[in-house]
Amino acid sequence: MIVSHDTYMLVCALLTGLVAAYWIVIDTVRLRAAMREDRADAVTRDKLFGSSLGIVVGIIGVVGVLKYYYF
Amino acid sequence: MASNLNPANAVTASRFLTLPPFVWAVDNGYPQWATLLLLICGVLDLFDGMVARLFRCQTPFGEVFDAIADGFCYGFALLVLTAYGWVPWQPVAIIIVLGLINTYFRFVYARRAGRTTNYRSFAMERLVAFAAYLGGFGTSGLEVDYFYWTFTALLAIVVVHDAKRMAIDPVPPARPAVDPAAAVGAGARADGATPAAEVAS
Repeated sequence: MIVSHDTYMLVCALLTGLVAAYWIVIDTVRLRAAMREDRADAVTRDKLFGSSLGIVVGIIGVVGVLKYYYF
Repeated sequence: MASNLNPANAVTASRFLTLPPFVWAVDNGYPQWATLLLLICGVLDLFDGMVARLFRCQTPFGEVFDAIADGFCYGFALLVLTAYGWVPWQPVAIIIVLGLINTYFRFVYARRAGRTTNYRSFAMERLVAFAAYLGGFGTSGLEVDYFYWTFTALLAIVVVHDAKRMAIDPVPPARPAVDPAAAVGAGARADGATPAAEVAS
């Protein structure tokens, strides 16, 4: 055992929660940028879909950490 | 063109060295060591892109090798954790089947394009990053069922979306091959891949 179980879980939760929160911010910025591009372009539509999914993934990460500690 | 025997690919290859001790850690019931080894594997994945830009040794092979290393390392970790009962086998089985379906459609896309090309999916890039965390959730026991099943649901959605794009939608024309050295100053991706959606062979 490297650290206590509580510390270990706290580090794992922080790594997950902080990265997920950062991810929500980054993909929100990317989504806003993609919304200014031409939506007739297939690549732009892919970017919109990818950024939306990225925000969902970020929310799943934050909810997962909150679920572990509070629910 | 940079040689394929370069520092970036060496860093990518070094990720495989984390797998034997990972198996040892899981086999002996040391979740913290297993998590640490997965973390090292993930950091090396970030590090190889930095090395590629630093030494200007980005190659199309390096891009493919990096993707293979991703799939092998994370897939291997998932299989080991499933074999030892640390994660539920049902979502892992579905994830593997969906991964194979996605790989099949990538071949379909390349055949339709008539050249060696890789379909760039922005959504799948997010899920690959999520997949990197799945092993850590398995070793730490952090809401394993919740994360594995939500990942499986999202993967199913993205595979259907990408299958339609690869099998039905028009294939864009080939772009000129990107000089890896020139790509360094032009927004090269963190994993060492060129920013172009496709890399012509």
